[in-house]
Formats: sequence, C-alpha cells, structure tokens
Amino acid sequence: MKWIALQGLKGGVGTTTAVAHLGEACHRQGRSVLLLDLSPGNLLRIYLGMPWEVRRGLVPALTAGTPWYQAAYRSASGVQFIPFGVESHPLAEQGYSRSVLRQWFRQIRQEAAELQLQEDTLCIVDCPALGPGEDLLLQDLVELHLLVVNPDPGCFASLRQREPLPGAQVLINRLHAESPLECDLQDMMMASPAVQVLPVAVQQDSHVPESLAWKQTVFQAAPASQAAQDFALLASWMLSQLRETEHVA
Amino acid sequence: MSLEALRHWPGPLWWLMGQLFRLPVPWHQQAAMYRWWRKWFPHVDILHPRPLDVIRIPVQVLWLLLVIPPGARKPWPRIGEWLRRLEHVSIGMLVRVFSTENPGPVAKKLHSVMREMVEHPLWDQRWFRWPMLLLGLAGAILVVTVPYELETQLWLLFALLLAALLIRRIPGRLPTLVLMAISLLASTRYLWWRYTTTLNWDDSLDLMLGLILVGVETYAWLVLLLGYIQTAWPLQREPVPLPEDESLWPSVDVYIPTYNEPLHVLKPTVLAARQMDWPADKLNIYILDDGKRDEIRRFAEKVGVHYLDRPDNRHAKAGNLNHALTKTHGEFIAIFDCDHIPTRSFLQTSMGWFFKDRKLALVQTPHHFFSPDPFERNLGTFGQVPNENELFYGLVQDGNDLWNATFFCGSCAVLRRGPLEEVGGIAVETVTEDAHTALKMHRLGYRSAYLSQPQAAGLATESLSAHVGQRIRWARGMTQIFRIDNPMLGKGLNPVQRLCYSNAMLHFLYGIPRLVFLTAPLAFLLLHAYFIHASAVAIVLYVVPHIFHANLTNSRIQGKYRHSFWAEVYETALAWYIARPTTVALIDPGKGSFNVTAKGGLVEKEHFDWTISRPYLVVLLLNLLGVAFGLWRLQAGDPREIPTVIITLLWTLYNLLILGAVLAVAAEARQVRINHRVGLDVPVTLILPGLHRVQTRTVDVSEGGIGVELPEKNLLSPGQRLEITLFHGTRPHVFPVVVANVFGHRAGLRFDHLNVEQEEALIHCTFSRADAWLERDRDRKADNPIESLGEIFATGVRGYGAMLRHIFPLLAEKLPILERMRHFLWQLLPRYPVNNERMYP
Ligand SMILES: Nc1ncnc2c1ncn2[C@@H]1O[C@H](COP(=O)(O)OP(=O)(O)OP(=O)(O)O)[C@@H](O)[C@H]1O
Ligand SMILES: [Mg+2]
Repeated sequence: MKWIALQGLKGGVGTTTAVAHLGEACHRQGRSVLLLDLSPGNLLRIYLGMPWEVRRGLVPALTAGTPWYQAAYRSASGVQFIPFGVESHPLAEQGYSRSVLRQWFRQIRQEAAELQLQEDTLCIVDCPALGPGEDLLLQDLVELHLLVVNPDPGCFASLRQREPLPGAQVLINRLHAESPLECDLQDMMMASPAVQVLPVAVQQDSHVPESLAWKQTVFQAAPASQAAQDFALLASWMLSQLRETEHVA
Repeated sequence: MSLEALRHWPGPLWWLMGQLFRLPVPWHQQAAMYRWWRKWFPHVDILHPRPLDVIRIPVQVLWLLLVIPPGARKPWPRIGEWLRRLEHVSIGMLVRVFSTENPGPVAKKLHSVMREMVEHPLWDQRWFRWPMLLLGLAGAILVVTVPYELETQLWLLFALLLAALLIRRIPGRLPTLVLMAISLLASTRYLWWRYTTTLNWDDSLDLMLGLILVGVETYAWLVLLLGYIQTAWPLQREPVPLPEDESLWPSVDVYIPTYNEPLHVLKPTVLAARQMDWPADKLNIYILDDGKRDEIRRFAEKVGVHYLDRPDNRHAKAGNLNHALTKTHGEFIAIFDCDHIPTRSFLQTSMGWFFKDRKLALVQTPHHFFSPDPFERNLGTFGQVPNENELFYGLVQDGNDLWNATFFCGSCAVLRRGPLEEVGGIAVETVTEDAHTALKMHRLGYRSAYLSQPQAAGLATESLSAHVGQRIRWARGMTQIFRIDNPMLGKGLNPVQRLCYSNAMLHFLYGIPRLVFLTAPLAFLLLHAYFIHASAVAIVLYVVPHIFHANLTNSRIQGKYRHSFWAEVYETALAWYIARPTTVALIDPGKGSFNVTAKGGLVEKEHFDWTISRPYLVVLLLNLLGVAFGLWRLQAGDPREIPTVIITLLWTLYNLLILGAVLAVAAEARQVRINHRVGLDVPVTLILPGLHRVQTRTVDVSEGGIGVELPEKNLLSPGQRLEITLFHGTRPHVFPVVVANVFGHRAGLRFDHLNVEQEEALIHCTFSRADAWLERDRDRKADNPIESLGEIFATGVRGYGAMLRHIFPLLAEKLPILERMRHFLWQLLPRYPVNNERMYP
C-alpha cells in the first residue's frame, strides 16, 4: 500500500476537493484507491455522494471498538473511502489534537499492513489544515505529503514564513490563469529553492463547486472541464512519482 | 460474331411486324421483345425512333457481329478483373522488393560483419591499405572497360543487380557507400560504352545529335558523382550548449531586411525575434526597411526595436545588409528574411558552436515553410512528398557540412562580424549574394556549420510565376559565381569544398539537359536519326543498370528528403525558364536579368497558367507527334527497327508522364485565405462565462485566429465572446476571442483586438515555441520508387485532365459546334449490350 497525505496550508484552499478528485482520477486510471478522512469537518464523503444523515465513520467505529475498516464505503463510481464520521467522542470536546490523529493514523497504517489488503492500493488521506507553527500532520508517516496552497499573496507569505517545510511538496490549487499576479506568484513559488512545487497546478474552475452541489466530482458532472484535466494530469504525475520512489527504494 | 442476338429472331420479327403493320401481338410478347431490343440496342428507343437511328442500327449490328465475342455477356469485366489482380500481385511484389523497412536478422548479421571488415586493424597498415586501394581501382577500371559484348554485359548486369539487391537490405551507412560504388560502376561503364562504341562518326546528323546527348549524359553523370560525394555522409551536427556564465555571451544584432512586404507579414517576425532567449542588453533587433515606410518606423518605435533605412537602394538586399553593417556593432549578426519567424530557441541552439570553434564564421539552419509552395499546392503533395527545399536542407547542406562546405542561404543564419567584414560584407557581385559571401569566407579559411533542426519558419512563395522567378534568380546567381569566382580555381579551398561548391552551381545548369532528355527520342521518331549507334538489345542492357542503380542508390540516400522521380518533375517544370538565364550568365555573367512577371498575391480563381506552360505544351505536342510517328514506323517501317522504335516509344511515354505532372503544376489551384492556417496541436482552455473552464486542443492557428476542437457540440455559438488560455511552457496566457464559426466538434475563433503584448504572447505560445517545427515530417512515408512512379502517373493523368478541362471550355466557348460535334459522334457510336432483365417499355 502507498500512503499519500494532503494538507491545506490554511483552511478552504481545496484540500478535501483535491483528495476526492485525485482519488477519483487514480481510480479511473485503474488503481485501487482508499480515501481516508482524518479531518473533523467530515466533508470528504459529500464529494463521494454519501447522504447527509449517515453518521457512521472512523471515529464512531473507533469509539465503539469495532475495526476501522468496517467503516469503509464505496462510492457510486467505485472509490472506497472512510468518512470521519459524526460522534461525540470523549476527545471531541477538546478537539482532536495532532497527536491523537497521528496516533490513529499509525494504528490504521499498521493494521492495514497486517490485513494484507490489496498490495498496490493507494491510500489518500485528507488532513485538517495546518495550524500556526505546526509541522505537517503525517510527516514521516507517508510516502508523499502534499501541501495544498492557493497562489495568492496570503498563502505565499505564509509559505515563506514557514520555510523550510521538510517533506512537503506544494500543490497549487485555484490558479486564476488570467491573473498575472497569480501567475507570477506561481513562478516565484516554483523558483524558491526551499520548497518543491508540483509541476501541475489546478486552475480555478467553477465546475468544481457546481459538481459539489451535485455531490459529485467534476469527473462525473463536467468531464471536459479544465479541473478534470488538471486533476487527471496531477494523478498521473503522482503515480509516476510513486513508481519512481519505489524504484529508488 | 454475335450470333446469340439472332437466335431468337422470330420474336423480334414478330414484333417488328406488329409495329409496322399494327398486327395484334400479345402484350407479354411485346414486352419480351422490347426487352430483347433494349438489350442489344441500348441507345435506340424503337418506340420513339429518331432519324439517325438509320445510322445507329446498322452500326450497332456491325459492331455486334464483328466485335463483340460470341456468347460473352460480360467479356470485359472479367479480363479487367484479372488485370487488376495481376497488377495487384506484381506491384505488391515490386513494392516489397524496393522497401527497406524491417531488415531481417540475416541483414543485421551482415551489417556487423561488414563493420568488422571495415574496422579491421589491418587497414591502419600502410602496406595493406595502399595495395588494396590500388586493387580496388584496378577492379573498377576492369569493370568499366570489360569488352562491350552483349553476353558479358548481361552477366555483369546480373552480378551488379544481385549485389545491389542484397546489399540494400543491410542497414547502415557502409552498405550505402557500397551501393554508391556499384551505381558509379554501372553508370561509368555506360558512359564509357557510349563514348567508345555508340557514336556514329560516318553520319554528321547522327554524330551531332549523338554528341549532344552524350554531352548531356556526361553532365548527368558528373552531377550524380558529385551528388554522391556531397551526400555520402551527412554530418548531423548537434547543438553545443552555451557557457554557463551569461556575461561571456556575445552581443547579437538581428537584421530583418524588408522591401515592400506589408506590416502584417513583418510583425510576427519582429515580435518573435524580440522574444529569442538571449540577454536583453545583448540583443538588438534592426528592421532594415528599403521601402522607407513611416508605418514600419512607427511600428518599430512601438515595439522597441531599431529601424534603419538608407538613402539609396543599391545592390538590393545585399546593399541593405551592408549598410546596416556599418551602423551596428554586435559581434554576431543573425539574419532573417522578413517572413521567417524564428523560434525563441534560435540563438540558444545556434550560438554554441561559435564558442567551440573560433574560426567558425557561419551557422546556417534550414528554411522551413509552413505553407505549401505552388508546386505542392497545385500537385496536392504538401506534407506527403518532400519538396525541393527539403532535399537541399535535409541532405545537401548537411552533407556539405562534413566537408566544411555548408553555405549561407540568406536567412535563418548567424554570421560572425569579423570574417564578414574581412570579405567586405555581403557580396554584391552576383544575384545570389548569400552563397557567394560564404564562398569568400571559406576561401579565407573560415569554417561554416549547419544545424538541421528547423529554428524558424515562414510562408512559401505564393504564386507559380513568383516561385519560378525566384528559382531563376538562384540559377542565374549560382552560374554567375561559377563564372566570376569559380570554386574550382582560386586560393583557399580544399578539394572537396571545391567539388561541393561546384556541384551546387552545376546543379543549376540542368535546364538544357532536361530539355534535351525531353526531346531526344524525337530525333529518332521524327528525324530518323540514329543518335545512339547500337542495337536495341545493347541499349537496354547498358541503360537499365545505369538508371536502375542510380535510382536505387539515390532512393536510399535521399529517401526521407526526396521521393524518386519527383525531382525530375520539379526540374523539368523549371528547365525551360532556367535554361536561358543560366546559359547567358555562363557566357556573360554580367548581362541581363530575366524575370517572369510576378503576379503575387492570392490565386483567386482556379485556372490554368497558359503562359508558364506554353513551352511544355509545345514539347508535349512534339512528343505526341513522335508517338504517332513511332506507331506509324511500327506499321510501315523496317521490321528490324521495331525493337528500337519500341524503346524510343517507351522513353517518350515516360517523358509524356513527366510532362503530365508538369502540366498539373500549371493548373493553379485556388488559394482560399491570406492567413495561412498552420496545423498546431497544443492544449487550450476556453474560459466560458462564470469562470467555467473547458480544456481542449487546438487544431490550427493563423495570424488572425485559431481553430479548436469542442468536447461538446453546442458548447459555443457564433458571435459569442470569450477568452482562451494558451500555454507557453507552464505559463498561461489569456487572449480574448470571438467565435467565428462552429462546425460540429470544431470551432473557429477570431482573436479580438489583441494589444501588442498579447500579440507577442500569442507568437510565444505558437510560432516561436522551440519545438514548433521539430515534428515536421513525423508521419511522412519513406521513399519507394515504385509507389513514387505511381504517384507521378496519377499526377500526370490529373495534369492532362486539367489541361483538357481548361481547353474544352475554351474551345467550346469559341466553337460550340465542336462540343456538339463530339456529342453527336458520341451518340452515334455503338454500345455494349446491356444486361438488365428488368426493363419494361
Ligand atoms: N480548483 C477549484 N476551483 C474552484 N473552486 C474550488 C477549487 N478547489 C476547491 N474549490 C472550492 O473551494 C471550496 C473549499 O474547498 P474544500 O472544502 O476542498 O477546501 P478545504 O481546504 O478542504 O477546506 P477546509 O480547510 O475547510 O477543509 C469548495 O467550495 C470547493 O468547491
Ligand atoms: Mg477540508
């Protein structure tokens, strides 16, 4: 199994969107995919078409002491995912701390290895956005850790302040290609030696929220859209990247 | 004899009686009889007789009785079927024999054996090498001069043929050299035979014609030999990277000479030149405007490039460049004709060699055209058959490069200022100043280099007459150089350089030889002159290996860049026009200029260029006359002459074939638009209202617009405004467009008032992309002589068709009677019986 984590540099940059779309794209390219929602917002499932009222998910399973993999669902298009779930967990009052989430993830990763799930399954984890002063949530626990940013001055400044972020690869989402400012910011991020920026950026595309309104990804609702092409390209890049690391190992 | 028609005679008789005497005949019998009639007399409606049926019926009866074979209902289709099948099989076999794709394991093994032989250390020993070379030479002399008896020649023919057919299956360059040797042996032997045994010294007419032909053949042999030397080993030089330290990079002046070309032609070139990757403070762009136009001056100011004009216009382009040379100070000079758009990588690719080689004075890159030249347009071969240009840039210049003999071609090149000033600037003595300048620099010991990646592209000449005019200029200029600064003479060149330059110049003397080849068989057919004093069998036995091996070898060397026989079409089409200026220039290099009037601009209506094709029409008529004479000679002449007549007729037929293709060139196809569409397949994003982005791919671009594919049919509607994003590397650029038209899954978008930056960005994303022209011949087939001949045949037929189509309306306009007469006669002709059972009155 290969583990990939996505985390937003701040809230609302499109992390959950990216997880759902990358999962869908990889699935379409014939990979077996498991998406894991580690962010208490519990929104990933909406992209995958789960009804509102269903409350089950990772946390309820852990609370009830049942195995986490029993909380896995399959979307209409065949992507497997584990929602975060809605549950009054004893920890919920204090918020789910970094260490708790990391602890859970470690456990899941270990048990997954023991379960001997399908060998080449790709697991993509949706992490809550980065808090002030924090390191990447799943640093050293995953093969690939993507940091999602928007090409705006805020993200750029924030990225500059936090450099270097060890292990992070930066994914630019919501690029307005017609804005010279954003293109320049993209160029500057790419030119910076401290962070590694993915060669493919995802452009701002209204097809994305519209598809979400249909509880779908753009692959279903707007297959010709720019976003669909961008995410597909990104997925290909990611898969080839993983293959390369495998090679080196 | 067709007795079948008569077998049922009582029936028709009955019916005829019925018709004539109004006898009551049962209806079903009437129908049967009518059917019988329509079958054998399909063009005569007996129920509505016409006066001329009086002729039609007896003619048809005769035809049925005498011509149509008995019992054969469908005689022809079956034979045709067989012919087709036969043709299929035999052509398929020929094609396979001539194809070199997929060498087998044996061939590969042979290849390595050959390599080992050549790389054997023994060759390094002097005592071995020289004797072997002498031995080889002796062998060659032996092969060339073995007594000219038919039997010997037959054996030799088979030996050479077998060797060539075997060797050509082996991949690699060595076998090519061996093939060249074989071809030279065959051709030299042929020529030797021609000189020693085939001239009739007893008859002065025969001798004169014979000498002319031998002379012309000697020229062809010389060009073949020099061509082999020139293209034996294309260097295929790779670009050299520039030094890391940009401060070491020299300053470059870019000259864009223009005279009367409109701004919209000049603009993309200037904008693209500005974007070339080079430190901005070391790149100076100069528009050299001999037209002294304010519009251009203003444009130059607006985009921030230099503008130069001069008081006079002496020496045209050469003078223009020389004037600029005195005004600017860059260490290097890049020259682009005003319609050659450079890619951004031009300087990065071409400058590296100047660092590596301090004596290097010139780097030339190919001229690539993204629109068809008139030949390609009228022949419909654009993108399929390589044009003249590609042989020259793909092979000749690259072959020259090995011998340090690549010459300057006037555009898409970089020159070092020092050597250029040393030779006194661009040469002004001849009308091909470019080649002459390079020759002068070579004489001073400077070197030149050729890079075969297209780094610039432009529009080809529009009209046939302009194209012809340009070729005349080249031919004349090269001949002038040959006369006033002959590369075989003078100081400073090495022997092979001399040969390469000489070949470049000799090549342009093809005018008269081509005309001689076109008309030579007529000397025998019409004048009954035996200009080749030999038996028909001998001629065949000597000519066949000569022609066969030359074609086989050339097809292998030039496969990708020239298809067999096409060069003949191109050269023949120009021969008449080139013959005179070259001859005059050869006699007196300073004299006269010849130009067909250039019409320029768009070819608005499909038409036949009678002016340009006139000489060929005359030759065509002569050849047709020759064929008629030949047929007559077959009938009435001396029976011992028949083989000779047949060979000569075959030769004439080949000439007629080439002439047909030449006529096809003269049938000017219509040109639709000013802005040429250039195929382009890159991602593009359509930005629809509300920031909906749709990604798709482009189909083509032109200066004014872009064609895109639509993922959904009704995505766009005509008149709609939107923006599109094109990418330059990863950097997106946005352009406003209006939808001009939508056809199913295609839409044409027109750019909507781009400002200068946007225009620049557009060129960046399209024409000046570094990879823009790299895949130019991606899906073109390699040469196959048989297929090539087939194509020429088809083109020739089209050429004759076009000519007739253009003749007949012409005649019909003046003499409508003629057309009517043709019609009249046509309808009197007898017909084949029709086999249609379901025919009712
Ligand atoms: N490329 C895009 N183009 C247009 N809209 C986008 C794009 N990516 C994300 N969005 C929109 O941005 C909004 C936020 O997305 P999302 O929920 O994925 O962000 P997030 O980073 O996961 O947020 P949070 O930090 O709250 O988890 C959504 O409405 C989504 O549709
Ligand atoms: Mg989220």
